[in-house]
Amino acid sequence: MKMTLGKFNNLDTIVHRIDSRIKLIALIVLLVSVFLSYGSAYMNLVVYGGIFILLFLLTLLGKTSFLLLFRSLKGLWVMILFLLILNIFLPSASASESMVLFTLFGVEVHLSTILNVSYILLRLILVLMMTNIFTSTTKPMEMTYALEWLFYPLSLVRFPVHKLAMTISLALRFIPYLFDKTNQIMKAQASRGVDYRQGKFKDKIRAIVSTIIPLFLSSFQVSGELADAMEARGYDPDAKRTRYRAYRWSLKDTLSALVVLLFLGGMITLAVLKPDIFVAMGMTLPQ
Amino acid sequence: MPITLKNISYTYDRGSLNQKDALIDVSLLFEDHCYTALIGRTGSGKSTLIQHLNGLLLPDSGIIDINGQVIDMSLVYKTKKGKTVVDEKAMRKKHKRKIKEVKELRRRVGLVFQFPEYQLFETTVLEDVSYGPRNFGSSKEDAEKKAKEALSLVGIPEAYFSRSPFELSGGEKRRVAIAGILAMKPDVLVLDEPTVGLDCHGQESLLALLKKIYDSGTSIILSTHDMDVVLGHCNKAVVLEEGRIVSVSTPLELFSSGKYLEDSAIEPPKVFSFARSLIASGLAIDINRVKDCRSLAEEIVRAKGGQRR
Amino acid sequence: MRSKEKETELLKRDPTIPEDSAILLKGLTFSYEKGHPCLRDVSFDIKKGEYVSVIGHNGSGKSTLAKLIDGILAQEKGDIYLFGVRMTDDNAVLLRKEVGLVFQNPDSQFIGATVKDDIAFGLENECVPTEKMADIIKDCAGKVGMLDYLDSEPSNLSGGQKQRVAIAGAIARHPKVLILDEAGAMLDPKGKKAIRQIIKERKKEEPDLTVINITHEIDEAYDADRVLVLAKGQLVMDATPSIVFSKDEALREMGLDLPFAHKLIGELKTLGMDVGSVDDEEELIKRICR
Repeated sequence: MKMTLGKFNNLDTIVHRIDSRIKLIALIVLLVSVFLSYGSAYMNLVVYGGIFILLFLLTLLGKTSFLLLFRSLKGLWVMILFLLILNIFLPSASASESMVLFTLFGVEVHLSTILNVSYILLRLILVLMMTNIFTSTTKPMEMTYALEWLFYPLSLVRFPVHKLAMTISLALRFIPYLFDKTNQIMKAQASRGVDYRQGKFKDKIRAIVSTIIPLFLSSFQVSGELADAMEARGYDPDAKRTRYRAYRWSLKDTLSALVVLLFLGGMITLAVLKPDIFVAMGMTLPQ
Repeated sequence: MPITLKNISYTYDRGSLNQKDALIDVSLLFEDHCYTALIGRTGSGKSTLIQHLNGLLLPDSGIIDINGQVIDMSLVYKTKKGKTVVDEKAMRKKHKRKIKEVKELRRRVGLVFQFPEYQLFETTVLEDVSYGPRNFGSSKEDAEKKAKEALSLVGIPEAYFSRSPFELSGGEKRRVAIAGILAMKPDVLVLDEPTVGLDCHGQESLLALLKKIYDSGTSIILSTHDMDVVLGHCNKAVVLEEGRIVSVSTPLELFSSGKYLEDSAIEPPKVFSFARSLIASGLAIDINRVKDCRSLAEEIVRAKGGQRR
Repeated sequence: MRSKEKETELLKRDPTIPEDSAILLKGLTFSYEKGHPCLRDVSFDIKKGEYVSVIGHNGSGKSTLAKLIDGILAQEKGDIYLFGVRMTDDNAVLLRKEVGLVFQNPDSQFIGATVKDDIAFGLENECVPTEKMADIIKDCAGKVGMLDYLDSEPSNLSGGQKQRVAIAGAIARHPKVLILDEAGAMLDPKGKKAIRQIIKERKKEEPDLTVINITHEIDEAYDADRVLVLAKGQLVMDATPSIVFSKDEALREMGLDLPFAHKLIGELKTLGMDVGSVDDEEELIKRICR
């Protein structure tokens, strides 16, 4: 058992080398662009398609595993079905104006419903893709650094940005450890006949309790030991510290930042003006 | 209860960057009523091997025969484009089916993990120890009876039964955890580095306990780095190196050969090397009888007595 | 930020403490639970550059002692003097700079994301300028033989390697006192050996370094100049290794292991064969064969 999505992939590609701060900003910009509306359903699909191609390229460049992406999508089947059913049987008010594609169990299925569902889905896939690219090409440590940098303005209002960043990085550092520990405890309890797969509901609850209590206890112990170890090496959360990793802002970074900002500008313009290329090209699409 | 392993292989994280062959073509026989030590450096595959003995891990390929109950994961082949390849699909099917069959194994082969005290979770010692038998369908009374027997075997006094296991000392917790396995009445007891983290006194009493369990007819298989334990208690020593078995012998043969010890950076116990030096200096002691300090002393006195006569 | 004057004031030596004293404890008492002291009235004086081993059964208070000396825990009664400076709540953080402490568990003391980040952690805390860090990290990683693993993550390291990194992290801060709290206890024989070797090398290269090694291993205790024995929270012995380990009976009663030669001599004695007392194994062989 290993964590699948969101694990850093230790490679050295062009995407890995982009400054983590820029990657974080780009991630936010992309997230925003996916949740903006660009007018008609068709236009939304066109823009999402564009973002999809961009992300697809980045996935290739960053040698991010498609396999992992598909695996994480596999778990979403239930949700997709649920979305479809919900939208078909409880169509939005405006759907009745749309063209009827076919009837299902006596319910008319409108084109706009299908379009709606498909772009919700596309959104989901896009979000998964971009977070996957970000987490698999950015070291957890750099991620924390980017977060700390992003939140830096907050420290002016006495928000403990540094402590937050340290907490996040320690949490990231200990996730694999806790994972191993959980696995180990589950195996130990399985050796005492605990069956995690089958059994009555009551037994399952007990199986979970038998895992969680030892897990909590050992996490508390480890966190106590960790606190001692940090203190022993002179860590003082309120004191000033220097930083081993020097993050310099280079010309390259300025350029990449500009590209990201231009992209954001473009997206906002699209969202505000809502131009319809299909109308411009004189095409009439079914509504 | 004999356990036979035939051509067992196991790989962690197959297909990922962290892929690691933990066991490679391991064949081994644990005889009925054996006391076997698994020796090897950290990462040599000891823990992986141990987890195969009660079906926690199923081999990627190979056959495990536990007193007639067979986990057959021998490879299935198919012909693809004229070449013979492993039929992955059939193997996956086999794997899924086997997972359901192994539960009874868990009871018959009791497995005690490293630092077993971390598996305690119940509110009282007695409840925690009866958890195992309860999982295997014992009634509450029956489970408690088994638990009490196991607790008295490991030397936990009755006054402790209703206490919380978390109030106990480290050594006591470990014994309670072992009782939790013993209460299931296993025919084979498997322990992963049972003496780690205990002080000298704790180690001695734990080893005395294992001896008692062994004498009552239960097989014992343990992994250890402590060669004194191997010489003093075990009748068979298996050395693993990077997932392969490199030596199976009696402890004495192993220490006499010295070959695999050097590779595995393990030193023969002091008792043994001292006895050898004595022999080299002309004292007629029988190395076969030297198990620990006491038996060495007895041998010395015997040899000296013999000389005088 | 503290001013320089304030710091000097806080780190003022007590003139009554001997010049050559590194760690001086006076009547130290500590308890986690009220009424159940885990250390009782412990006093000793460890000189600068001494190598001291501390042995004792589980729960004898060894680890607590280490944490008290490092100022992680505060004593209930008694005083701790580090290089003649009495430890108080105010100066504990400053005094800690002189102490490097390595714990037992390899997993819970690896703080950084990679080996070099972990070694850097202590340097960052002491505000070492960034440009100086790389050299210190390399130097310290070299001293523990981890130079080839600077970019490795903890999940790809063995327990022994992680402990070596922990030592590197401790010595990177240039402490005058190095305390090892059963640093090898969770390692395999090879890992244990490596740790023992590193301590020896450190002592050889830096004779002024004061080392306290809390251990279960008799051979390791023999490396030290002096052995302190703790039992049930009290200091029961404080002498050279050969003297301490000659007190077979007492050690046995405390549940402690004895050196092999002593064990054998004891066994022979119960069988009616008296070979006197010897430390040296070769001498023992001679006497037995005589």
